[in-house]
Amino acid sequence: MSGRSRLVLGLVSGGALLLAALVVCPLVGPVPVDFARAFDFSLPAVENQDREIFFRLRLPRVLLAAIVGGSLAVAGATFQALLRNSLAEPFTLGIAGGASFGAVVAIHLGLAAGVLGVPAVPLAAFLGAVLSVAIVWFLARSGRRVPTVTLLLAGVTVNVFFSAAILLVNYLADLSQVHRMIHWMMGGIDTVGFDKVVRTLPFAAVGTAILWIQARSFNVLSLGEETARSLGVEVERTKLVAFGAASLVTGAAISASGPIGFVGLIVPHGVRLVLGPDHRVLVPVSALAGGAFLAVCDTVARTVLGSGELPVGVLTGLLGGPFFVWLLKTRSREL
Amino acid sequence: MSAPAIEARDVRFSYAPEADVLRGLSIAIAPGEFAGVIGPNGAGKSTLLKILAGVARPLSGEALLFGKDISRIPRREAARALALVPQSTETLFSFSVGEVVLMGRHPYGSLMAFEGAEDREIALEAMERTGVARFEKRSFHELSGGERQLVVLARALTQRPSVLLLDEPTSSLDLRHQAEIYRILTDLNRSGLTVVVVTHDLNLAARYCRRIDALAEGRIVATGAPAELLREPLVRDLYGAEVDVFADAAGRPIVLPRAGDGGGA
Repeated sequence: MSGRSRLVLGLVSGGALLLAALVVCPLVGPVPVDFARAFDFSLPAVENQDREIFFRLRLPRVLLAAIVGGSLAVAGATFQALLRNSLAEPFTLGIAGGASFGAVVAIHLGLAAGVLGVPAVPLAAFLGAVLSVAIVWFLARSGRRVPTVTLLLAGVTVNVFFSAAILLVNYLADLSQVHRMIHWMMGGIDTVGFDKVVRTLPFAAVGTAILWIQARSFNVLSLGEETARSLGVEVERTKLVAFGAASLVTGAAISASGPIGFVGLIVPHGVRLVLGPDHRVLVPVSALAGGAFLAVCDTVARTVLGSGELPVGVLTGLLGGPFFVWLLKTRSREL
Repeated sequence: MSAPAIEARDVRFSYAPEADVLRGLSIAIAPGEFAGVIGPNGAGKSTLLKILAGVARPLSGEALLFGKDISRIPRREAARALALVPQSTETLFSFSVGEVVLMGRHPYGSLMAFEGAEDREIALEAMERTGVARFEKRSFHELSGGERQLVVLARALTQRPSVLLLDEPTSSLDLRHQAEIYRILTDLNRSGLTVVVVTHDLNLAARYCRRIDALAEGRIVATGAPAELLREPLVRDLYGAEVDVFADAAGRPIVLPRAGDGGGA
């Protein structure tokens, strides 16, 4: 199959999966929703409970899950290509540590008011993500180049540092704050109304577009940086642009939902198994498939316990751990 | 007089301060040449190749491609004139042989575009030339070192270059693949391609190259046809090892390390 037909197949089937998830998931939950009544706009909103649940609670939540899932999957595919390591994921370079640090500081300081309508905690998480990425990039720089190995090491170091800083803030905080911090760090799609959706979507859309444009270079980069350079790729510029775009996409996702692990690992690998490794196919299809994947996972997470909700980050973690081991054991030749 | 196909002028390069690998090296290789660069480990052979290919920048001096400073040529344009075959290639993810070869069309494509029929035809032609067309659908991972090198050579040809640079292309290959690679290079050279090979294998260099450049301590110390250049004193001084030099039936030199006392029969 040619690359173009694989792209079409991937976009059509990924799009169908996402659409199905977006239609079905909002109907699932402890309170049954009547689809027809939810779309009956003749009743006043306050009297139409189906409409309230569908449009204010479930649909935004499913959309946010889809945006976050798509973002993490695209970022994961990018980091795997950039770091030349198929076990990389969006959080490999310390971005989750930085974002979590920002969030716990905001919770501890009791910051409530945000800027331009963005509440303090997600804003602080986003700034923490950007800060950690900038630190990693500058730590890893060596002359004009940013070698992959030092990038990985800098990422690990920054992650360890922020973990310690988070523990310090935890220690200083009171119990109710600690509870909020831990809940945030579990990673969950928690939203009422469309604010978070509107805030996250531009990052996801623009970031994915930028990364899709770079996708041809990602293919060549997998032959090694020197070969890529000899094939006409501006390697350092490509790395900077892709690293920046993937980090912003991840930062926006994480600020809306907390760190949700393994989506960025599972989804690109799944897509690669079905459609092959060509990034011109992998990047856009991962966005769609990641969206469908997290929308379904979150629906499972909010219903599986019967009463109360499981943070979806816990569920993806439980799924992702064994998947990671399976990858390591069966596909190590490609790692 | 036409410009050399590739040229380095007074190039200095170092990976660490005050440890220059190349120390004012100059070399000029004319279009259509088949040149071999030899020299001991650490002499700077691979570094020289990277500088000639424009993937590493000299600290001072310049590398020229058909008379133009390669650092001023847009990378994609340079990649249409010059291809580099590294010592070994690993791919991340299981790209098929056909996909790897098509990546040679990168400098011709635009942004997200997929390769067209013409690109696929060029890739197929290159695969046939190096005898890997039958592997097209297989994963690059699954191939042996020799097969991979033939695939990478096909990828380089897909760039449609005028100059081909190879770094130890046969260093870990068996006899059959060594002969195969050099046979293909000789054919390509006859049809006009400028070929530069960095190699440790003096006998293969003597057999196939028309010109040999000896590199030591970051400079070219001797240049000449294999029969003139590969003489016992020069090879001994170059590598710091005792050698015997014979001639084959066609008068081309054969270099062997001399067996010491108690060594060999």
